[in-house]
Amino acid sequence: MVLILGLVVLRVAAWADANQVWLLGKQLHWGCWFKEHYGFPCPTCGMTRSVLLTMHGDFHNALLLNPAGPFFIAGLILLAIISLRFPLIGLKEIKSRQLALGLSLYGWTFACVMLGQWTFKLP
Amino acid sequence: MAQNWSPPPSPVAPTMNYALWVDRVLAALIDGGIAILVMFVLYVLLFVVGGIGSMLIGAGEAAVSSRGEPGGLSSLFGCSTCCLFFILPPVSYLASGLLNKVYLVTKRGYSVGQGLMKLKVVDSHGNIISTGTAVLRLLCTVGLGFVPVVGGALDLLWPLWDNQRQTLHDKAVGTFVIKTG
Repeated sequence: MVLILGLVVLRVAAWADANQVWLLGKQLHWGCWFKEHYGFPCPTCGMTRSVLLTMHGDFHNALLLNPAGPFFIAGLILLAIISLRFPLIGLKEIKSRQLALGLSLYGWTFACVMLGQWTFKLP
Repeated sequence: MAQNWSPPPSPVAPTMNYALWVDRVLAALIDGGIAILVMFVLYVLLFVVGGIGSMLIGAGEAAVSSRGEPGGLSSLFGCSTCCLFFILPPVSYLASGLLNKVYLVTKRGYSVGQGLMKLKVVDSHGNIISTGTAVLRLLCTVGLGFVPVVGGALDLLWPLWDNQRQTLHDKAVGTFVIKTG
């Protein structure tokens, strides 16, 4: 429930386009120190905008900015759905082995997506 | 004849003294410290190699740019050591884990941190785990660490509500951590 609530709050309070992020109507002037110092993006560059664009349904631009953004949101929604089963059938009844293996696989895939898209952005 | 026959005893897992969550966290902190040490050593090595490489390529580029051609390769090579900050933590955890959480655990049953906290990693029969299981256990730990926001925390906190006080990476491969002392 906390995960879903967090996503809803994020959806309502924040907005982004391909270049800027707004929180509660105010434009944020965040910059990546890594990009400023070295002239090329870090692996997580564009993640905030990509996540917010995904939340607002702009999947095309989200994927262009950082494909890990939509992948991150999909994982959170999936985990939230699984977590919703906890109070219904009891935490101990969750097939924890499958959950552990699934989460590990998701983690490795997430890392590969993050590093993979970064290699394409390198000069 | 049928009356003399008795079924073979079913494999019942021995009663285990499962490790306390606090002991496991302390052991993980000690093992994490070793991973940080490895990361520092790797970073120093890469810094030296990157610095020398940058100087060598930079010297070549100085000659190239004197002919009026654009450069930039030296800065890229020098910066690549900094980029590895994103790669070094999981790489160092894996590198230290291969020795600490695979080799040591399969040889004697516990890592450095677990040894200090008198813990032991065993399978469902109470035996020391195999190399394959230990490698898979390490990969699951790192994989769970990659899951944003919740992965590492969920793995760490899972023993608090688990009957056998297993973490998620224990669940994945069917291992248990017991208190020996």
